[in-house]
Amino acid sequence: MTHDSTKFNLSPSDELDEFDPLADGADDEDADAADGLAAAPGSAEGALAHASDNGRPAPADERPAEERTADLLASMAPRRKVLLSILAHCFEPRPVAQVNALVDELQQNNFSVYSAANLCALLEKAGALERVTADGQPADDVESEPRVVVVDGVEYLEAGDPVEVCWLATDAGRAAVEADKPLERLRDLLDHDAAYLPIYKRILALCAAEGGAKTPDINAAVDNDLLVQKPRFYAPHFVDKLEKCDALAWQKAWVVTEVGRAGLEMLADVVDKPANGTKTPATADEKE
Amino acid sequence: MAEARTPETVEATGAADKAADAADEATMEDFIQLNKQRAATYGLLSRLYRVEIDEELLEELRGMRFPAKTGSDEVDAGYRLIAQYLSNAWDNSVTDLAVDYVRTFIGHGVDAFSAAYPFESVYTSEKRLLMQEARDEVLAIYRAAGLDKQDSWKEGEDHIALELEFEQILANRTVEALERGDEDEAFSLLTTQKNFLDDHLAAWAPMMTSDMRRFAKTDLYRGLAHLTDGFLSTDRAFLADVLADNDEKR
Repeated sequence: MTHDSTKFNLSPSDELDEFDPLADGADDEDADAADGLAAAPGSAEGALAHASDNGRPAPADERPAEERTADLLASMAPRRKVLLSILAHCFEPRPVAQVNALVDELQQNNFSVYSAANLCALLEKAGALERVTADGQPADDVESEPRVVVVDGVEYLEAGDPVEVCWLATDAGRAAVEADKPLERLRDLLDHDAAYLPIYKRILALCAAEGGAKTPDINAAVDNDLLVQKPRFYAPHFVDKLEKCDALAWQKAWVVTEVGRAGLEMLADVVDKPANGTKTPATADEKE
Repeated sequence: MAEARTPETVEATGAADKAADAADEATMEDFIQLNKQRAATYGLLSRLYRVEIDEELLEELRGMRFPAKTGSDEVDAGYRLIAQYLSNAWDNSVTDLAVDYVRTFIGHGVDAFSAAYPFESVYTSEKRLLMQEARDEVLAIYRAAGLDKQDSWKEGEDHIALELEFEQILANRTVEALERGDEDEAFSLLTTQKNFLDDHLAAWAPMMTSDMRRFAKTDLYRGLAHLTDGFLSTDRAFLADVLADNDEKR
C-alpha cells in the first residue's frame, strides 16, 4: 500500500508555543456555539441517499414501473426532456459513458444539479432503465472477482477487470417515450390558447431566425401588445408554454425545434398584426 | 563486573557484535518501514472518511494491491470487500459512492440514530451531540502536539478522519525520529499514539463501524468498516508489544 495523505487537515500551528492544553476547553467559544446534531445534506447525492432508508429496509414501492416512471417525469418536469432523451437513446444497450456524454450535451445550456449518473439512477429506481451488459444480460448477474497475485511469496488482491455496463430502457421506459407526443401537446396548447395565436406565431417566427432570439427581443416584441394587457401576460409566460411542448429550446438563445417548426406550419394562416402596434421600448419607458 | 577476554574471544565477540549491529540495523530498517506502512494506512483510512471518493482516488484504489492474508480476519475481510467493489466499479461508481457516503455518515433523521456519525462526541455523549467533551479533549491533545485544524476544515476536531490523521502524523514523526537515531523521541511518540488509540479512537470507532455495517450499502464502505476495526485492533496490539519490549530493555 503506498497511499499517503499529502493534504493534511491538521497542521503545525505557530500560535501554540505558549499553549497549555490543560487550560484549554472551558472558554472555547466555538464549542458552545456549534452544539447540535449532524446537519442534513442538500446535494443531489443527499436526495438520492435520503430516498432510501434509515438503516432499515425501505418500504418497497410496489406500484407498477409505468406508474413510477410517470410520477418521476411529472415530479421532475424541468428535466422531463432530458429524462425522455435518455430513455429514447437507450432502446438498445448503450455504454454508460455514452449516455453520460449525451446528458452532458443536453444539459450544456441548461445547468442542473442532477448529473447524468443522478438522472439515470432515478430512472433505474423508477423501473424505466436497467443496467445490462453489452449483450443485454442483467449487469448484476455478472460479477467480476478480484485477481489474486503473489509478489515475493506474499498473496495480494488486485481489482479485476470490470464488466462494461450499459443502460437499457425497460418496457416502462419505452412506453414513456412512446407516450410522449410533444406535437399533440403543442396542438392542444394552440387550441386552448386560441386568443393568443398571433403571439405564439410571433415568438416562433422570431426564434426560427438564424441564431434564434434573445429574451429581450422576444419581450420587446410581445410585452406591449394589446393582446397581453388584460389579463396581463409577459413573453416568458408564452415562451415557457412553448418550451414545455418542446417547440423551443434554449441554446444560449431561444431556438425553434422540429416541433416548433411544425407549429409554425400549423399557424401559417394566422395573421400576426400586432394589435395596437407593439410599443417601442422608448414608449414603454415613458409609460413607466 | 568486568569479564577477562582472550584474543580469540574478543575476535569472536567482535564478529558477533558486528552481526548483532547488522541485525539491529536490519531490525531498525524493518521497524522504520513498518511505521511508514502504519502511517500510510492511517492516511488512507483518514482520506476515505474525510470526504466522498473522487475519480482520482477511485483510480488510485483500483491500482492498489491489498494484502490477502494479514493474519487479521477483519482486515482480510475489509480488503476483500473493497477489492470486490473495485473489481466491479463502473462509470457511475463515484456517484454511487457519494450517495452511500451521505447515507452512511450523514443520514437524514433527527433522532441522532440515523447514520454512523463519524464524530467521537456523538458516541461518547449521553445525548449523542456534536462538539462535546471528546472534542475538547482531542483538540487539547492536537494542540499539545503542536497541531491545529486548518481553516478549510469545517467539522469538529473529533471527526474520525482527523483522529486517524493525528495518528498518521505521529507515525510519520516516529519515522523521522528513528531515521535520525532519536529512539527516545520515537518511543515517546509511540506512547502518545497508543494512549490516543486507547483513550479515543479504539474506544469509540468500533461503535461507529458497527453502525456503518448497518447503513452502508456498497462493499467499499462495508469493507472500510471491517478494515478500520481490524487495523485499529492490530495497531493497538502492535503498539502494546513494541512499548512492552522497550520497557523490558530498559
